[in-house]
Amino acid sequence: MTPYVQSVFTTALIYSLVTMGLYITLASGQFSIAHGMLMGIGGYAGGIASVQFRVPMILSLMVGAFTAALFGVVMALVLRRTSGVLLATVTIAIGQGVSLTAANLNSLGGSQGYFGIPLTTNLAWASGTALVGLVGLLVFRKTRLGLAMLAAGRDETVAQSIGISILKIRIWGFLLGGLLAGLGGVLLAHNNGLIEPSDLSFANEPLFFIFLMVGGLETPWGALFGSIGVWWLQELLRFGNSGQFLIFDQADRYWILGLVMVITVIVRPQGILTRKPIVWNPTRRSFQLLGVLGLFRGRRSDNTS
Amino acid sequence: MDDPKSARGVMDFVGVSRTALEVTSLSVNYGAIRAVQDVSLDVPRQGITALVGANGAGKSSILRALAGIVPECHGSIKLNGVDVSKLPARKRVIDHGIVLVPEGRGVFTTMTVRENLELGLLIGDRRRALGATTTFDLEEVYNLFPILRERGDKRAQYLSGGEQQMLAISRSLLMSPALLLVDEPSMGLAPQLVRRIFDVMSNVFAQHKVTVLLVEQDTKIALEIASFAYLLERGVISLAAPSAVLREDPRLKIAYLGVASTILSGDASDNNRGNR
Amino acid sequence: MTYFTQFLIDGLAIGSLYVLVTIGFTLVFGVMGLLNVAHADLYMVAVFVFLGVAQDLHFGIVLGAIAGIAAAGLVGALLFWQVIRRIDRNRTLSMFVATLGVSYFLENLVAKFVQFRTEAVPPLFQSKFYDVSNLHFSTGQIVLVGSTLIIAVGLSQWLRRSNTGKLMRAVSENTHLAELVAIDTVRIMAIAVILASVIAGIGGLLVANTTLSVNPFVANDVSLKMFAVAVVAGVGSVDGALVVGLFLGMIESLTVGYFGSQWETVIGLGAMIIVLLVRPQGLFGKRLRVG
Repeated sequence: MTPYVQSVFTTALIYSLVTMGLYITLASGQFSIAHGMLMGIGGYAGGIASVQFRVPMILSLMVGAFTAALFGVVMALVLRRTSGVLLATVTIAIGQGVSLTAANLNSLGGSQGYFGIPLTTNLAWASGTALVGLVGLLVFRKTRLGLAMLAAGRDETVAQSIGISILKIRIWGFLLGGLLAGLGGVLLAHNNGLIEPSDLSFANEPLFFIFLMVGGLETPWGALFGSIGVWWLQELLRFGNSGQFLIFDQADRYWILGLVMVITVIVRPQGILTRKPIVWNPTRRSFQLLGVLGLFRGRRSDNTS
Repeated sequence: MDDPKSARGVMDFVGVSRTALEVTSLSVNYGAIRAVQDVSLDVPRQGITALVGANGAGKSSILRALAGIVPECHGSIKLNGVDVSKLPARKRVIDHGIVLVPEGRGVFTTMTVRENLELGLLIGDRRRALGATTTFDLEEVYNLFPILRERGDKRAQYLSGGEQQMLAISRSLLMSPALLLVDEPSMGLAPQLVRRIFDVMSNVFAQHKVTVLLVEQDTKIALEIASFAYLLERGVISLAAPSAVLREDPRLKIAYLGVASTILSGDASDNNRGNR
Repeated sequence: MTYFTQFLIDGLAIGSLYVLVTIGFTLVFGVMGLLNVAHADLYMVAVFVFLGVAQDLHFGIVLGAIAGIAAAGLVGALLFWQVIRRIDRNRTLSMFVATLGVSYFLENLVAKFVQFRTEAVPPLFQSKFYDVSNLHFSTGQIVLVGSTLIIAVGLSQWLRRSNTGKLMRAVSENTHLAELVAIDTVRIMAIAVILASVIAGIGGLLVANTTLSVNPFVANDVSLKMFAVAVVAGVGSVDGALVVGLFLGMIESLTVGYFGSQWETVIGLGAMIIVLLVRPQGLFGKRLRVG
C-alpha cells in the first residue's frame, strides 16, 4: 500500500468511528446531531493529554473518549425535557456555539487551533480502534440494554410501555455516541497534529450523514462501509483537477456529495447498504431518479393532494 | 351471522328506496390487521342512520374510510350514484360534500371560535358555488348554539367539552354537507349534555334534511334519533333493521357482551387477521 | 451612557438579521414540523445572486435585488417540490438529512463559483452616516431595522387576519384535522416555505447592505442564532421571534462591547438552555402554533 492509500484509509476509518457514534445515537431514537462537536471535544482532550502530560496514545484515546462521553451525558441530562426535531435543533446550536466559543478561548489556541500534537495516528491505530468500535457495537446490540435501545429507537411509546426507561436509553445513546466520536477525535488530532475550532463545527455534520446515508442506518457496518466508500469517492473526484477522467474539478466534490446525499435520502431513505434487499425495478427507479433531478414528475402513491 | 347482502334486502323491505350513500364490500386494513371486513350498507337520503357496536368493532374505521383518511381500504363507495372511493379526502369534501365530524375534540384549539367557524364557511362557500343544497349561514348556527356567539372571540381551547363538540358540529354544518358523518359525539361528555346535543342534532338534521351517518357507542340514545341502524360486530355487519326493531332485538345486547368475552379469551385478533 | 446607547443601536441592527432569518424558519417549523437546515442558506443565495446579476452581469442594483429575492423564492420552491414532497412526512430524520444535504450542496456550489472566498457586496443605496451627540448610525441601519419591523409585524398580522393565514395556522395546529376540513395542506405548506424563503432573501440583501460582505458559509453562524431565537421564542411564534431576536442582538452587542467577543455566542446558548429547562415550549410558545 502506498502512503497515499494508507492515509486515505486512515482518515476514512477515523471518520467511520464518528459515524458509528452517530449511528448508535440515532438508532436509540435520540435525534441528536452534535457528533462533530463531540469529536472535537475528544480531540482537544486527547491532544491536551498528549502534549501537556505526554501520556501514551492508548491513554490519550481513553481520555478523549471519556471526556466526549461525559459531555454527551451532561447534554442528555440537561436536555431531558426536549425531544424530536426540537432536540435536533438544540444540539446543532450547542455544537455550533461550542465551536465558536472554542475559537475565542486563547488557552485552547483560539481560532488557530491547538497544535503541536504528536503525529501518532497511523493506519494500524485507526483500523485497530475502528475494529474495537465496530465489534463493541455489534456485541452491544445483542445485550439486553442494546436490544432495549434499538426497541426504543423504533417506537418509544411501545418501549416505554414494556418498562424501558427512556431517560436511561437517552443517556446511553448520548454516552456511546460521545465515546465513539471522541475516539475519532483523538485519532484525528494525532493524525493532523492539531485540532481546530472548525473541527467542532456543525459544518462537518453533513459529512457524517452522507457516510451514514450511503452506508445505511440499520447496522454499524453501514457506518464503516459508508465512510470508506464515500471517502474514496471524494478522493477520486479530487483527481478531476487534472481533467483526466472527470469533467469536474476538485472544488466540485463537495456539492456532488451534497447531491448524492439528497438523492439517496429520497430514493432509498434507509441508506444504500442495508439488510433490506434491494429490489431493482429499473424503470421505476430511473424515473424516480430523473424526477429528483426535476426532469420527470414520478408517480407517488399518496392520496393527499 | 347474517349474510352482508341481506342488509340491503331489509332496506328494500322497509321501503326506503332513495339511497344517498351506497357502500359495497368495504374493507379497511391497518397493516396486517383487518379492521373492517366486507361491509355493505346503505344510508337513505335526509335521515339519520346509526352504526352501533361495541368498542373496537370498526365503526370509526368505516367513517374514516368514507371520509378517505385511512391508509388502505377496498370496496366501492357511491354517493348519489357517483363512485368516490378513489378520490382523495379533500375532493370528497369539496366536490361531494362528505364531511366528517371526528371523534373527540375536532376543533382547532388555538384558534378562536369564530375562526373555527370561518374555516367551515370557506369550504361552504366553495360548495355553494358548486351548487350544494344544504346551506347554513353563521346566523343560523348561532341561533342553534347561542353559546358560540357569546364565546366568538375566545380560543376554542377555553370551551368546555360539550361546547367544543357543538363547535365541531356547527363548523361541519357550515361546510354544506351532502352527507354528514358523525363519530362518537357523546365521547367524554356528561349525560345531560349528551342528551342536549342529541336533541339539537336530531332537530337540526330533520329540519334541514341533512343526511347523516352516526357512529355511537351509546346504543340507546343513538337508536332514539336514528330511523335505521346497523349493528357492527368485529368488522362485520351482523344486523340491519329499523331502529325501533333493532332496539328490541336480543342480539343487540349479546353483541356487546359477546365481543367483550371474545376479547377476554384472546381470539378476537385471530379472527380479524387479514390474509396477507 | 453614550457607549451603552451605541451598543444598543448596533445590537438592533444585528438583531434584525436574527429576526429576518428566524421568522421564516419558525413559520416553516410551525406549519410542517420541518427543521430546515438549509433555510439560512437562502439568505446567502439571495446575496450571491444579487452580486452576480448586479455586478458581474451589469444589470444594476434594482434588477439584481429582484433577481436575488426571486432566486431565494425559487430555491425554496424547488426545495419543497423536488425534495421535501418526495419524502414521507413521518420520517423526520429523512427530512432533516435531505435539508442538510441541500444546505451542503448550496454552500459548496456557490463556494465553487467564488473560489471559497468572502466577497464584497455593493450597497443597495448610498448610505448616509449620522453623528448625533456622538452616536453613530446610518440610513442602512435605519432601513434594516424599519423593514424588519414592517415584515415581522406584517407577517404576524397576515397570519392573524387573512384567509390563507388562518388556513396556515389551522394546518400548523393539526394537519389531520385540516385535511378533514378540506384545506389543501400541501398548498399551504408550499406557500409557507416559499414565503419564508423570500423573507430570508430580503433579509440577506438588507443585512449585506450594512455589512457589505458575504461568504458562502455564512449560514453556519447565522443558523446558530436562528435556532437559539426560534427555541427561546417558542417554535412557530413569529411575534416571539421578533421580540427575542431584537433582544438577543442588543444583549450580544452589549456583552461584546463590555466583556469581549469570546462571550458573544454564550449568551444565546445560555438563554436557550435555560429556557429549555424552565419552559420547554419557549417564552411565547403554545405548543406548535404559528402566529
